[in-house]
Amino acid sequence: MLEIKNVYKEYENGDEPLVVLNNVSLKINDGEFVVVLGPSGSGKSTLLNAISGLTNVKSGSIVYDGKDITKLNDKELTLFRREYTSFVFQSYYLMPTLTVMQNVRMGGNLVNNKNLQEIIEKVGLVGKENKLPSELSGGQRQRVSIARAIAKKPKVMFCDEPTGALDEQTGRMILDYLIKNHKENGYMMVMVTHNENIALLADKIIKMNSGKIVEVIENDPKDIKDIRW
Amino acid sequence: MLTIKQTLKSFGIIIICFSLFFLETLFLSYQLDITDLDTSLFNPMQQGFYDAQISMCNMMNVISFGIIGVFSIILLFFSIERYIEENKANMGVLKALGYSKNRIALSFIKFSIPSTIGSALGYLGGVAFSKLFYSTMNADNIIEDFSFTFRPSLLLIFIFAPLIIVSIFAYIIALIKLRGNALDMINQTEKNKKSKTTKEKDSFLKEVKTTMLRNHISLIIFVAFSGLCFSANIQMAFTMLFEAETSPLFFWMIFGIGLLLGFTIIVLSFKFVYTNNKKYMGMLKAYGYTDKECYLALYGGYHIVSLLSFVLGTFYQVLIMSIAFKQFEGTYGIKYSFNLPGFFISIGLFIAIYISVNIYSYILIRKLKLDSLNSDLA
Repeated sequence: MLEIKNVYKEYENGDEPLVVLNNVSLKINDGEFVVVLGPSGSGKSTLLNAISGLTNVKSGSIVYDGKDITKLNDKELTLFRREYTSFVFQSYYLMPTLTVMQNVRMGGNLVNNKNLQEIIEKVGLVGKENKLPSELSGGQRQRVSIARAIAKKPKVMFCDEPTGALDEQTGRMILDYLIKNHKENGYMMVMVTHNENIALLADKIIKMNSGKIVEVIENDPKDIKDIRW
Repeated sequence: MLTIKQTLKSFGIIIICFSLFFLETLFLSYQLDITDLDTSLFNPMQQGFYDAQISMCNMMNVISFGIIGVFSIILLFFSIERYIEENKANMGVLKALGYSKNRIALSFIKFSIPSTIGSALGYLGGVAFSKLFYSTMNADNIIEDFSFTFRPSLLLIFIFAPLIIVSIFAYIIALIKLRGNALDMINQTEKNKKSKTTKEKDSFLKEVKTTMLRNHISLIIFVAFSGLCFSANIQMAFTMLFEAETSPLFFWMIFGIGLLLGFTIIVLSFKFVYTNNKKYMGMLKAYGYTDKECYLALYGGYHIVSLLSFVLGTFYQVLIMSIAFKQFEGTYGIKYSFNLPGFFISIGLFIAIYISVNIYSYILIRKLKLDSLNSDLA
């Protein structure tokens, strides 16, 4: 379980600091799929960065299974990310010089996962194992990044606008892969988006504005086919 | 598009051009001045001295133009190409807006500024140093009334030749890069590189290290040149000082240029590797790879290149020094022998500098901020 209490973060902005997370508190259960929804500048990506251990906060606590990651030093935080987290970003961040299989191995290598071929099959990339990212379409690249994230066997999957750079058809397919794998593997999934329709797929919707959580909605998740884009 | 401030950041080019034209101003001027002398009245001693000096100037001209010159051209090509690649999207926007290819490409001729600054400083440095240099070369006053002659033609060639050549060079490279479709340039569509089937390695990090090396062949050349230049120059300086008993002036000149070139090129190469790969390093770190693992994947492959280039530089300087000593054997009665203390000092210095640059690179990776991953690491 993830428990966030009074998380506060600000950036220097001339004389007046810019508050990006203003005493945010939240609980996410194991296996839950949570969507953080909000307009640009609402603090949703900063919240994702903070709870995934990519950035530190000024005050508050972020507790995973009794371990407060705000108290960890850089080395411990690296080990935490190694053990707990995986990421899918809008910009894929595939290593352009590595093949599909090698990129997937980036995740699998950390947990000695030998079933990489099986994962590649799951995301529909059979036959593309030896291709470079430059030889793939946007949707295929995002599937590689999903396969890489799954290969790491994470406890929490963080997705930041994973369909932001994709067309509707590809976007739906990517969400389908993400949700299916989330259900199969039972990890916690936190997705940041500004698309309200995507939020309808989640178990819990957290609405943010101006660095604050303005609403938490327990949702009855819809199927990908039943939402508008 | 290309500002003067940005071109001045090409510090490495300034250093290389400075070194090249500093050496050339001294040795070419010296050679031209000594060749102009009337040798018909020379006694045998003066004739022997004259022949030896001409040989040394020939050798130094080959070293500076042949080695440093070739690498300056490669470095320039590499820097221009890199800059244009980084600005491809902006070039695509200008192209889409209707700017002619010619007009866009012309903005890149500003790339000749750093090389011209370097060559001008090198020329001025050479002129300022000439009095001391001439008096050292002709220390025993074997040839009387021999001094530096100002040659306007040399000034024009040394300053305008790099300006014109680099301008043309930058213009042509930009024109070639502008051949693509504007939309592809804006979207940064990568060329369809063909994937190669590679033998699967035991470790993912070994694969990263191998592909990093394979995709930065030009950097391997630079790292190798840095090691070779450092090793050869520093050892040459010691050999000249202790085995040929030349003036400390020569020692410091050759030593300084070796140090400057070796250090500058290795720093620039490592910085380039970091800048080009920081978002991927960020992703590795986000996934939980340690700073050490990221550092080794990125830079580990260059260690062996550096070491081998140092060894190669040692052989290279042995060869050059043996030939040079043979030239002077008759006049000065000196014989070449390998200077062991010089070797140990240079390898010690080399390791110290290489380790320092690696520590700096490690710190860059360690300080890499991960919170901008989702808004592209800038």
